[in-house]
Amino acid sequence: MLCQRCKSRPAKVHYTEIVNNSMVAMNLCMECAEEKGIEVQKSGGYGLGDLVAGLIDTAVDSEAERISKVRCPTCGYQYSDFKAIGRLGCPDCYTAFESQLLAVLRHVHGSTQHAGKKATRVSERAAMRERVATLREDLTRAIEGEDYERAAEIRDEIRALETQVEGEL
Amino acid sequence: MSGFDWNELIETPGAWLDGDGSENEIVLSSRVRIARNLNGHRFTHNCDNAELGEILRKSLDAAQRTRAFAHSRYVSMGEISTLDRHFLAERHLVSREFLANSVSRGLVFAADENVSLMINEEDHLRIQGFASGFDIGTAYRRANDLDDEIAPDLDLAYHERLGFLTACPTNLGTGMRVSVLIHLPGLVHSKEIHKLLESLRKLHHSIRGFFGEGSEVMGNFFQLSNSAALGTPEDVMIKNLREMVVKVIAYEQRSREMLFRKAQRLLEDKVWRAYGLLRYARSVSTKEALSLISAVRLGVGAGLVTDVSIRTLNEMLVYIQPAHLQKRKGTPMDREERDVARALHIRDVLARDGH
Repeated sequence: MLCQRCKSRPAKVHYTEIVNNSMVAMNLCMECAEEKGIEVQKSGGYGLGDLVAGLIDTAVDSEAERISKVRCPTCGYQYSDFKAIGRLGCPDCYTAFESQLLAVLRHVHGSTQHAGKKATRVSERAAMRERVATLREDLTRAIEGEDYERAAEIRDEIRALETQVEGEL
Repeated sequence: MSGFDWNELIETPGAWLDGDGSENEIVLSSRVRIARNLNGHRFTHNCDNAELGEILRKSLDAAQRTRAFAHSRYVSMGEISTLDRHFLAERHLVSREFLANSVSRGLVFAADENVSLMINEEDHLRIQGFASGFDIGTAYRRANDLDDEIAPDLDLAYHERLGFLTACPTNLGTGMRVSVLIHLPGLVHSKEIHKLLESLRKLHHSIRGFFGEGSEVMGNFFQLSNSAALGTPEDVMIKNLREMVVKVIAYEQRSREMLFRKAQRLLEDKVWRAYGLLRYARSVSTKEALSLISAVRLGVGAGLVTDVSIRTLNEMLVYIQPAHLQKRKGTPMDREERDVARALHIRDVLARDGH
């Protein structure tokens, strides 16, 4: 994504501005952000831009752009790979492409909610991955609602869980 | 679990085609397939050989401990000939898809052939339960018992909302496909079959040829199955398919009655000509044989042909296929030789059973 202001450098700073009583997503490069007087913390810390940019581009990217960029974090598959061969790359692809797949499932099965036999042993790791996915949604909502304090909490929780998951691998 | 004697296998046609079971004249057999995958592994098509080997090892470990496979056989698909692989597919122990890639693919099946497990098919695990005739409940119990036994030993890919995760989203949820192998000459001859196909599609069911996905329809034999696997519990899926099959059987019987009423002489002639060809022909292709067997089967159902049993006709369906003919003969044969061997086999069987 390119900076909205200079339209040449990549956007690195993402935040929400209130313009005429409505929220506007801003995506700027470092230079333009500094020119606009946005405080950019270049390393560590809890700068607003840092908080929002670090975890979720989805809050500000357009949906279509986001979908085309999403890669399954486990196997690297993109949604276009699925469309080309009709099969997903690994079980985690379902979480990575859930929003796109729901339309497919509705068409094929007439349903998007499993009923029936359950797994006898859902692995803790899988449960944790699902928890992270839910938290990411919460985070998006917190950012949209400008509840940055809550967003920071959620972010910490996600990082903690992710460290745990990676530790187990 | 052990290797096995191919010759012993060749002499039995598979218990699920033994001709027992209810409605056995129209419904040949029932089958339930359950798809499962292991967490932490890519789906089969996306794996390198090392990962496939690991999945195979984990799955075999779990399968070995089960009661369902107390008396079972194991086949390493990469270590057998193409002919042997086709032989297993003709018995429906493995899918046609399983034939294309064989490295690190494994098959375990119970000695009575009522339950089988394909490892590294489209999904890591594909369990199949079979039953003779119209008996979906028994087929399900066989498949489900094995699933219950192996599940605790495996870390299965499962999602709270989406259920069991599969390589293709069409199998997602229960991972289950329930199907029957059904003979519908009445609906084909009365041209009602297309209407049936259309209604089935609308009701999330599907009809395929004798060998499933993409296979040609031969001899009026079809596989009727559910196409939705997500959102409906297993017992309801089974009930739905059962009700569907009951209706299809009723339509089929009605079509047959109508055909016999309208064109009795024509139909009787067709049945007896088919019987005559099977008894005396010196060369016959698979496709022609299936179509003749279909006509004789129709004659048995109508009470015209009384000296051939449904069991004999079922066995014929298995033994007239190319790999079975060649395995029995013990040598590879080209198409022409197979057509001769097929005709000879059919003549022998009918001479034995008939009078």
